[in-house]
Amino acid sequence: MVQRKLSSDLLRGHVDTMILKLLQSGDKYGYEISKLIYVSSNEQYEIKEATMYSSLKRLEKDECIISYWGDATQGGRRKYYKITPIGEDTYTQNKNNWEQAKQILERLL
Amino acid sequence: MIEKLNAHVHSIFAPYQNAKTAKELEEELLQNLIEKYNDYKQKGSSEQEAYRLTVDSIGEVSELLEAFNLQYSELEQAINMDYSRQRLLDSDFRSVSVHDGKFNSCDLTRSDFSHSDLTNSTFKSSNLNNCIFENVNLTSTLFKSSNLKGVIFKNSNYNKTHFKSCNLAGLIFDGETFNQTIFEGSTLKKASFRDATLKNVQFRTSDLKKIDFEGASMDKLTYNFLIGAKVDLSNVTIL
Repeated sequence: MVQRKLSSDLLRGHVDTMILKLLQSGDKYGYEISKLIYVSSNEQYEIKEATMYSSLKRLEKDECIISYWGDATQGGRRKYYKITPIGEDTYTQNKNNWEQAKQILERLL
Repeated sequence: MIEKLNAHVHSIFAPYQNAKTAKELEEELLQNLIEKYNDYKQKGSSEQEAYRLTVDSIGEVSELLEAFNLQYSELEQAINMDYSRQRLLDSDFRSVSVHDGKFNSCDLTRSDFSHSDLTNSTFKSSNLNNCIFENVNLTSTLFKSSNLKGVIFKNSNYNKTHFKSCNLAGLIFDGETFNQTIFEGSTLKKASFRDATLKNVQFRTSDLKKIDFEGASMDKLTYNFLIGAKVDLSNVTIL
């Protein structure tokens, strides 16, 4: 359990980058993002709604993404998120930082 | 079960119903959770199991509140903001909180302040032509030498609100409640206070010609002020 918690903390630090990557292939709404993270991680990482929304709101505030309400489907309307040019730059930067950190950690751990 | 989910999500956001961002996040989260719940059920979970998994997936409520606080605090930053000497025509100030804000010498024509909190703010020498003040907290707000022609006031809080040297002619304050409100040197010609409630309200040296208090309720202090100014108070209830 402790081990799982740790890995989730490690992953949590990269949620912004995960979301930016997912939005590169098109606009998505909240549940779609969390499903894709679950599937793409080979069902290893299930992101909590709270974690996802704190990331989405932070990205929106930093103008990395913008949001808009879609048309109402069965039941209710969905809010979609779209990546901005600033978001694209942030993604590239984060990805490079990660590559660097990974190399350093591999030497140190 | 969907109802139960709805109630659960609503309870998280209940204390923040004034903030538009919280309402939107609530709607968004609920929509996600309903889809998630249906997916769990489709994959074979019982209703109870699906509900438990769905609620668990929300995670830390504190983190969630932080998420909307990020946006909310952006609005809160408007505290002490100085909007003076700006042209802010058609501005959208809905649901913002602008304590001690300064809107001096501004053109705010047609701006919407609905659901905002303008406690201690000042509007001096500003043009508020056709602005909307619905459900606004105007506690100790000062309107001085401003044009309020065509302004819509509705369901607002006028605790200690001060209107000084303003044009309030023909404005409709029907059914509103005024407490320690001061109207000073203002034109209230043909203004309507039908069915309004007035406590400790002062009308100092204001033009009260054809002002309408039909069905209004007021305390003795306010009543005496108005009787002295020869206002028709025939259908007024004294509190």
